[in-house]
Amino acid sequence: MPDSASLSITCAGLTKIHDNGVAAVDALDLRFEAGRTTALIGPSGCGKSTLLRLVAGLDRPTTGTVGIAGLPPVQQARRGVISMAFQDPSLLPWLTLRKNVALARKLARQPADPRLVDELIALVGLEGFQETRPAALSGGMRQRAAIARALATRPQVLLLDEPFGAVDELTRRQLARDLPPLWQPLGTTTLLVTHSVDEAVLLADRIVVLSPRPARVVADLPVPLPHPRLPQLTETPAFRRIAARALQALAQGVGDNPALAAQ
Amino acid sequence: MTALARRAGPVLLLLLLWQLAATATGGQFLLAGPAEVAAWLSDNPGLVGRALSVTLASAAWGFLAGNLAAILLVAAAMLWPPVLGLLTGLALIVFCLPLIATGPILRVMMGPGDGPQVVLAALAVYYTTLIPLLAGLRAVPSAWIDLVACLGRGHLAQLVHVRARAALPYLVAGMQIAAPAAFLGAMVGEFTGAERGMGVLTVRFIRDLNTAALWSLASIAALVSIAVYLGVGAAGRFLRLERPPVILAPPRLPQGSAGRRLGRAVLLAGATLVLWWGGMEALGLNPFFAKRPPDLFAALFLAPDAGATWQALLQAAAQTAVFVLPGYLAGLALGTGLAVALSLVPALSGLVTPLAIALRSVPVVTTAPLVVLLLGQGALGTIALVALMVFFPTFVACQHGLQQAPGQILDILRSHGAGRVPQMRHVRLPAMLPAFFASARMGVPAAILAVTVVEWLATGRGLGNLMTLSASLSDYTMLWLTVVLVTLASVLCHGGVAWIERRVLRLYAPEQVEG
Amino acid sequence: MTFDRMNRRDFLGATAGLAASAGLRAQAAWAQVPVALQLSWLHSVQFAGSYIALDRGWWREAGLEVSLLQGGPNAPVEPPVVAGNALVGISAADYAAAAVAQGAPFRIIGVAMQKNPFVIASLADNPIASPADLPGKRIGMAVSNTPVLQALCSLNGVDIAAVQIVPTQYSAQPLVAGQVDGLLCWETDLPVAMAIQGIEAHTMLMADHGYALQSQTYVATVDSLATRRKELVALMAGEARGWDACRADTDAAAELTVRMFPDAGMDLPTQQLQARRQVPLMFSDLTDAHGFGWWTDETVEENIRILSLLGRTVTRDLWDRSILEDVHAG
Repeated sequence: MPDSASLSITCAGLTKIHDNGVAAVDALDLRFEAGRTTALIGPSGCGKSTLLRLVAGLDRPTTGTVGIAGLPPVQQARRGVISMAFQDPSLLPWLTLRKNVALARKLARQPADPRLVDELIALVGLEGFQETRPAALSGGMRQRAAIARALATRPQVLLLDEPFGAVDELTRRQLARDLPPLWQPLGTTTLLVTHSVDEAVLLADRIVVLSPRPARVVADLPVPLPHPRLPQLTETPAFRRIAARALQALAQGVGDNPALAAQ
Repeated sequence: MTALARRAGPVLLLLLLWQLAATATGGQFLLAGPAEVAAWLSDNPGLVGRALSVTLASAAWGFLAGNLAAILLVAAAMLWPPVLGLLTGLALIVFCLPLIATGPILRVMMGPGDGPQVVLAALAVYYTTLIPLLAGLRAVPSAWIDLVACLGRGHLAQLVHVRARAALPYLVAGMQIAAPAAFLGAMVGEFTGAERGMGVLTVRFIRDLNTAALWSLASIAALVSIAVYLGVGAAGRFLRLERPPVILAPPRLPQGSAGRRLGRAVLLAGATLVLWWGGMEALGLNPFFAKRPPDLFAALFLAPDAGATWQALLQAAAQTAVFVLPGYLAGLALGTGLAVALSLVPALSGLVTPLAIALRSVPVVTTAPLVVLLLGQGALGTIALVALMVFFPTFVACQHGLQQAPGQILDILRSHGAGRVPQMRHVRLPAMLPAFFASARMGVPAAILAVTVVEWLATGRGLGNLMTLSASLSDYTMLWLTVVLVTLASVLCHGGVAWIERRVLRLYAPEQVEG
Repeated sequence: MTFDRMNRRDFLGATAGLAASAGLRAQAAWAQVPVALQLSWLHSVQFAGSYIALDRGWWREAGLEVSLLQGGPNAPVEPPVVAGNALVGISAADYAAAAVAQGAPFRIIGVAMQKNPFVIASLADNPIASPADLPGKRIGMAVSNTPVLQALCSLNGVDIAAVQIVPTQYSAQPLVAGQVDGLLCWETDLPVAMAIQGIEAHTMLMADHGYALQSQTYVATVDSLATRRKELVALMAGEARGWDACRADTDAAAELTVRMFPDAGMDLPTQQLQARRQVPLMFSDLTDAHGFGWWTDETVEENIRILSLLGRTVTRDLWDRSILEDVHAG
């Protein structure tokens, strides 16, 4: 059972070299404060997803450590406090939407909570589709279902890997408004991997800009904007200023990389 | 009404052709037409009914036991992955054991009753269930496994919540292929001294020159097999199971270094020897017929007549190879060719598919003597039967594989105005390759079973004959040597096909080989 | 000696002792000793004598609970006897000799077929009447029976190279369809099937041309002969009585056979004809003088000679007449 205490995440000297010899993450030192939302942005293939998988305990680091409140991720996972939404919604095709969402609680050995499940489904805008199977849903709808599933365990650590890739622009903005209030009261520590600078600014308290592979921190920007962040916020100068700095850091990270610069 | 007519049309045409062939060969005691079959059946409903119920019961128990064994083995391998390679290796070896030789051995071990029939039926089905099941359990997207892992759960939760259900369509597809094989296994089992059943009657009627009775049995056996095949398929549709992309996935053996691969082979060979020798000692089997590995070693290397033993074995093997290779290749070519032809001319499918199922469903033990009678004692009859055994699974698998062609790529070709043939060459054929190779692998033991059955029942040559001859002369050392030889040849050929498969698929379907 | 057999004998001994001590000797059910007779082929009048003995309760009266284990095309015959699953097996002299060469501790304890049933069957319009007719003919047979034809040829001074051997399955069809001129088969099976189908065949009995090999012989192990004599005598006594009854009325024997095995697909006319053709092979002046299953030193010598033609070396020890002597003495 998740407790109410927030969990911080610490990466120390974190290095991951894949079997094919490619270094995805190289000597990364990062700390993610408990109860905060951090967006990780960087160019495609820079190792963001690998970082997330290391934090989830799905991959083992080559060297270095990840600690969640001081414990290895695998141990925390066994307590059922971690939840993850993947790029691919990966819903089980033989289960209805409701059962897909409820499955997360079952796997995390948490008691069934039909009310929470239905609330989450409604919140991601899928009310009325509870009994539908994934094959009958659009790509965006499936991604929203996957987010509802990730939230169904009321996780202490929430790892979102480009969860809005297939979601249309309007819904994405709506979700950016509605989702943070869900996890903020739980004290959830959230890591969000995204390509979209606007999405990062809308959702996160902090933006970490990563360089191309192997991932290195190029910039670490605070996002001192108040919640809830309504869609109109994107038009404000404060928002645009942060977004511009993030974009600049992104471009600088690419420029710094000799391999990419040569291309 | 028109739908019914469309379905009945081909069947009526087949019956007509059959009757014409029977009339043309009348007086030769070769072929009984549908009219004679119907007359004989209406005269002997009780006899056939009782025999069918006995054989069906053995086949059903064997089918159940074989599938259960496959499921348990696979579950064990899923929960404890290190044993996977060893288990599938042993499973392949047991599957390759020649039924003709295992039959009498089982009879001695189990005594009178239904034991050998049930065990042979189980042996005939479990591998064709095990391999698709394994493929199904492993054909799970890695993200589903990640989902389970990041929620802190392990192999058991993976198996229960994700893999088991994901494998269900594969299980049903495997059972569909296996069902006719169970009937065949039960009939071969009856040849070892069963009191009653379809196999017993077959032997009786061959000797009695009772052509009408013989073709009646063959027809009944074919109808039952078709019914079971269609029934399992219908059950799958009823359960609204999605059709799996590749039923018989290639073995994803970890590559490793040459040394490690050698180590695995040695481990497998060692485990086989331990099970063989230890099993015989544990069951206290009499060494008169239950030969241990040292007996065979002595016969091959130490005995004064070792040279003659080698000569007899190799001569029989050569006689068998001459028939089994062309038959196997012809079966593969025919199955693939027909699947491709039907994909190009879909209108023919309604006529050809039922014929293909019917041809395959007639148990080889009934057809073997008949086909050899029809096509002669020469090469043609034997090759035709081997081809028949290999043809059908290849046809089904290739037909299925051709439908797996990615729709978007086909759309691109169509948008460039490419016709059926270019679509076939550039998209459908490459998409078919995994299924083709899967059936080519599974066809190896089937071809060897077919050729040994024909040699035993009809032509009196080769390894099949050597097996029965050694058994009748109590030369059990020679019988076990042929068992080892046939099994080893099956396993090696299977491995050879898998080797070619990996190299070809790496080029055309890399996603099938990785992981 | 197998574990299984040890156990069974101990168990039987124990129950017999228990029965005696409890004074239950009169209750036959307790005294029944289960024994099995391994047949060499599917049920048919080929084993009618056994069915009569079973049907009329002669074995039960002698305290035996006999089960008849059916053979078949892929059924083991010798191993159940070696392993002790069957007390007695039915196996021809050449197969028994082959098993002995492989280490089976067998003795022949009775000979059902006094005359070997092998024939060369041919069609009436192209008959093979004597071995001299064989050269130039196409003879269909299982390849494994080549030594039999070889023995016949050397017994009659015929050059086997002049005979064209055609490998066929065991069916009359190749002869009927004209693919061969003659078939090597038994007097009692394929020619009977042809006759029933209305095709009269000419048969040349190989036993009439020197092929004197005993067939359908009863085999038991040396161990059984030493320790289970009573059961062996009782079993063979039932066989002898059964076969005498079969000889007396072959039609009744055929009817019983068809009635006992309704699922075996036998038809009465076939079985009746088979029984009529079989009985002359089973009884001779010798059996009339000494009783069913008998043999003499001369027949043993003859069989040793034929077996050596077939490539089998055996000694006179292979035959043990003591059981038959007990049967026919009593």
